[in-house]
Amino acid sequence: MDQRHLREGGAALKLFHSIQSRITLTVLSFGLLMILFNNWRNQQWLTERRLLRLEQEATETGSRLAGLLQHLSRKQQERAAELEMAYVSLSADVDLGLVCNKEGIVTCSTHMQWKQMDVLKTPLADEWKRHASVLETMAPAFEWNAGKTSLVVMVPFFETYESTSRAAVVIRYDATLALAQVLEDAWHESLRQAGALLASCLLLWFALDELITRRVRRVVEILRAATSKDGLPTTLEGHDELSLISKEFAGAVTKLRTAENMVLEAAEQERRKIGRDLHDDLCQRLSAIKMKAGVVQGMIHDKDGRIANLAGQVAEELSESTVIARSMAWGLAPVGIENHGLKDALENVLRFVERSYMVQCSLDYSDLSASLTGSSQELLFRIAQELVVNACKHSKPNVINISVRMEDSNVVLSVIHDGKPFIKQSAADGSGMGLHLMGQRLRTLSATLERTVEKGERDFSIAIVRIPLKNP
Amino acid sequence: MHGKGMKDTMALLRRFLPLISAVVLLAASFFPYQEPRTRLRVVPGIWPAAEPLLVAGDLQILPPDRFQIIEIPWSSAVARAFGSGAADVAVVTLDGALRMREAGQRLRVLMVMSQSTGSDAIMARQHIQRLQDLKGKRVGVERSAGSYLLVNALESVGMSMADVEAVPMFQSEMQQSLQAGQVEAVVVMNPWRSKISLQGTRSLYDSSQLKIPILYLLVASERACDTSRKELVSLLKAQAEMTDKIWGGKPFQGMDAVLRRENLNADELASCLRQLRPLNKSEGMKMLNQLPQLAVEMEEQMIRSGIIKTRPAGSEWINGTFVKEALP
Repeated sequence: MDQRHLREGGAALKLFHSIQSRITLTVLSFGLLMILFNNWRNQQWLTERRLLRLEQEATETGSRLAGLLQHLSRKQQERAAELEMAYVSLSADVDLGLVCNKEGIVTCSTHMQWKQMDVLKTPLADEWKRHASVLETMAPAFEWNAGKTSLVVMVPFFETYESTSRAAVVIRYDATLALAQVLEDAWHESLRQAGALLASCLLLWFALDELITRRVRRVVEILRAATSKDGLPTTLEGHDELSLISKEFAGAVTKLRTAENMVLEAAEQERRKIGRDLHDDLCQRLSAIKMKAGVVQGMIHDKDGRIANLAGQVAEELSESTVIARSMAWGLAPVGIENHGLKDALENVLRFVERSYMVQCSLDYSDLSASLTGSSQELLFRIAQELVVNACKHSKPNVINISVRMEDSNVVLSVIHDGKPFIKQSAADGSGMGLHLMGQRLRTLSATLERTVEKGERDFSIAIVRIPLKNP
Repeated sequence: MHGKGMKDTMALLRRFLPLISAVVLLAASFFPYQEPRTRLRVVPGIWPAAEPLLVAGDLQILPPDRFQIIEIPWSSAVARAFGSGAADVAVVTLDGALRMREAGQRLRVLMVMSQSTGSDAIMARQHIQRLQDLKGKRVGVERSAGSYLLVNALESVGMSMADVEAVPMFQSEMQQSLQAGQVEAVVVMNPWRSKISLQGTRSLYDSSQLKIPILYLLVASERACDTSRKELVSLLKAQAEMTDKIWGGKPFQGMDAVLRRENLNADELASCLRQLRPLNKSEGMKMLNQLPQLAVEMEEQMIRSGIIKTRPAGSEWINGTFVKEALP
C-alpha cells in the first residue's frame, strides 16, 4: 500500500517536473501575478475615478441647490425647497443634507427630523463649525475626511435681496458604499480573469502535451531503440524541429551502423589474413622443421643416444607448436567454413569445448549453405562460438546442444545447456566485450537474440538467434 | 491493475479535460460583469403610518448598506419617485395605489400596514357646521391624498365635487390657508390634522365614516420583488417589529426623532396614533385577501367621480407571499 502511494507520488512528481507542466505553471504563476497587479491598479484607478465623480456631483449639487434655494426663498416657495432637498437624498451617496440660515437654524433637510433644529444639534454640527467662515467669505467649502470616506460640501447663498440674509447648503456624502463597490468590482473582474487564465493554462498543458511532450517521448524511444538491437530507428512524421531531429538522428545511426559493419568486416578480414598466414606459412615451416628434426634424429648415432633423444624432443615440441599455431590459425580464421562449411566449424568448436571443459556436446544441423553468404555464416559461427564458450565459462553445464535450422524465413541458431541461467552483468566488470561484439554481429545480421529457461526435472537455458533471410 | 487504472484515468482526463477547459474558458470570458450593489430604496412618505419604517431606518434596524430610506414629504412626489423607478418601495393609500396602477405603474402590494380610523378628515372653519354648508365654498385638498375622502363625504350628503370649489394645495399649506380664510375647509391628514384641530376648527367628516376605509399599503416594484426578496422580507419584519413598539403605548427608542419629524409633542403623537389602526398579521392577511374586491368598489366610485378615468389593467397586483415569509 505504501509502495503504491510512493509510486503515485513519484508519478505525480514526474508529471510536475515535465517541461509541459513547468511551462504551464510558469505561465499560470506569471498570469496570476499580472492579475494581482492589475487588480491593484484597477482598485487605484476605479477609486480615484469614483472619488472624482463624487466630488463633481457634490460641487454640482451644492451649487445648483444653493442657486435654486436662493431663488425659491426669495419667492417664498418653502415647499418647493423642501421637495428639492428630498430629491437630493435620492442620490445613493448622500448621507445628510441641510439648509441653514445665518443663525444656524435648519430650514430644510433631507431628513425631516432636523428641520427647524439648531444645526449644532444635528450630525453636521462639526462640519458647520469648521466651515462657518463660508457665511462670511461667501465662497464654497469642500472637504474630504482623512480616510477619504466622507465628503462635505458647503455652498452659501443669500436668502433674500438683503446682503445680510445669508444661508448655506451643507451636504455630507458617504463614499463607503461606493468604495466597497469599487473593491468588489475589481475583485470580481480579477476572479473572472483568473478563471480564464486557469482554463487557458489547462488548454496550454494539453496543447504542449500533444505537440511537444508526446513527440519528445517518441524521440526518446527512438534514441533508446537505436542503442538496442532492434534494427534501424524510425522517424517522426511531420516537418517540425523534433521531426528533423529524429530524421537527422536516424541518418547518423545508419551511417554509424554502416561504419561499424565495415570495421567489423575489416577486423574479420584481418583475422582471416593472420590466420591464413599462420596456417599457410608458419605452420608449414614448423612442419618442415619438425620433419627435418625427425630426419636429424634418425641420422644421429651417438654412443649413448642422448643427442638423438634431444633431437627427438625438438621434433615433438615442434609438433606441439605446430598444433598450437594451427589452433590459433583456426581460431583467427575458421578455415573449416571456407573449406568444409559451417557444420565442420561448429563441430570443431564442440570438440574444443569437450576437450577443454569436459562438457558433453551435440550438434543438430540442417544445411544452410545456400541460404547464407560466407560472411554471414562466419558471423553466425562467431555468435555460436561466443554463446557456447560463455555458457561453458559461466554456467558450468554438463551438456550442450547446438541446433541450426530453418524456421519460416529465418535461420535459427539455438544453444541449449543445463547450466545456470544467463545473468546479464554490467559492462563495468569487464566481461561485456564479448557480448558487445556479439551485439554488433547480431545487428549486422539484423538478427535477434532471445534467452529463455525451460523448467523441468533439469532446467535448460536456451539462447535463440533468429536471422531473417531477407537480409542474410 | 493499479497502473492500468491510473492509465485509464489519465486517458479519460486527456479526453475530456480539454473540452471542459474550453467550456470553462468560454464561461470565464463571457462571465457577466458584476451587478452594481444597489440598496433597496424605500420612500415611506412623511406621515404617521410610515413611521415604523422611518424609525427602523433611524435605528439602523434596516442597515444603511442594504436600505436607503428617502424622505419625500409629498404623496404625489412619492408616487412619482416610485413610478419613475427612483424608488423600489413606497407607502401609499389604496386609492393612491389605484391611481398609480391606472397610470401604468407596475407595482405589487405586499402588505396592508394600517387603516385610517379618523386620521384623515375634513376640517372646516367654525362657522361651517355641516357638509352641506360647503356648497359653493372653497375646499383645500391635496388631489393625490384627499380627493377620495372628499368625494365620499360629499356623496354621503347627496353632493358631488361639482358642488364645491376644490383648491389644490399641499398638506403643509392647509393650516395657514385655513387660518387666513383662503379656504373654508380642508381635507387634511395627520400630523397636520392634529395641529388644525387645536385651532378651533370643526371636523365635518373623517375616515372612520368611510364605507371602504383608507388603507395604508406597502407596495414594491415588480423588479424589486424579483431581485430583492430577502430585503423585502427584512423590511416587512422591521415594519411589524416597529409597529408593535410605536403602538405599544409607551415611549420607545427613536420617539424623539418621530416627534421632531412630525413636528408633534408626545400627546399629539399619541392622538395621531390612536386615529390609525395597525393591522396585525391575521388582520393584514384578511385585508389583503379582501383587497381586490375593495379595489373594485373603490375604482367604480373613483371613476364615477372622475378621480380616475379607467379601471386599471392587469390582475396581478397583490403578492401575499412576502408577508407569509416575513411573519410566519
